[in-house]
Amino acid sequence: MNRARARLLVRLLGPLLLLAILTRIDVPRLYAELRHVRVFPLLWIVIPLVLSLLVKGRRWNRLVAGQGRPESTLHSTNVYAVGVFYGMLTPGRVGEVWKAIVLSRRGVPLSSALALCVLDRLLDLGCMALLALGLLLPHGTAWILGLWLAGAAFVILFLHAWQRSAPFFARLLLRRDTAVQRPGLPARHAPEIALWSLVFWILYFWQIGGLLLAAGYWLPPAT
Amino acid sequence: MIPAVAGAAIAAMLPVSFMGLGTREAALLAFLVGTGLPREGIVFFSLLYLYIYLVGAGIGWLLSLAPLRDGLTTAAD
Repeated sequence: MNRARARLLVRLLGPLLLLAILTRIDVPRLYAELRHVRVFPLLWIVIPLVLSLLVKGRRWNRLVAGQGRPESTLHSTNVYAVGVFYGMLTPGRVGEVWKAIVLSRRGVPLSSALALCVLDRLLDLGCMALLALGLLLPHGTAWILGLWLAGAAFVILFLHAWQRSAPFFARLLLRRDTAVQRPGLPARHAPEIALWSLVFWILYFWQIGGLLLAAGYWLPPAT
Repeated sequence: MIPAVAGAAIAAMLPVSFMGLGTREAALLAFLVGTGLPREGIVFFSLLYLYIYLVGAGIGWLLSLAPLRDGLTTAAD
């Protein structure tokens, strides 16, 4: 079995898992639930969705600015949104490397541009993990502020650590030993990148709230 | 709920699926099965999740139809 076929098979694991889940649930009941979706909350979700694309576009803009290749926020948002589209078509959202390709056309080394894409993804993962962890811990009245400060500190420290680790991730993506330039340090923009990272997750959970409304579920807070 | 959604979002990023199909459902089931929601409801919510992906991708698709302008700025943005 060649490598390409093996990779394709690995990416079929998810759909196979879904099929396995569907065989273990009452599918007619699932279909009945789908027929009772409330449309208005679904339309409402489009607002935070568009805002989140703008926020992510701005964050990408700040990351790119750290490479010494300033561009307009509108352009960054456009590139980001198209990257999301390509990401949807590919497993693991690999298509998002489109952003790196656009950046490399402007003279940024592809390895650095790819490292920036990985950084963009890791910021999301890190913030999400932090949020999940923070909400699992017992919290008092000031937990939201604490979480925000922890998130901002995480992003700022992460960006500082990034410059050292980026070549490793770029080599991993390129799958060959290549001379990898370190991406420019976006630390100057770190507070703004932290802000947009956290704003994005607020918008994300706004969308999740909309989905819960559309589904007719609104779970009471855990006691 | 939020930790469950966070876990599902991370699971959806695993490169073993398309659009997080399967991995997201499995993660949500694992996290929410004890909350009293029926399994069908959890899978239903997870499938509804696809809506966010599809609308976001739809916006990207529309933008991909237009030629990409240079967008360079002369001074630091």
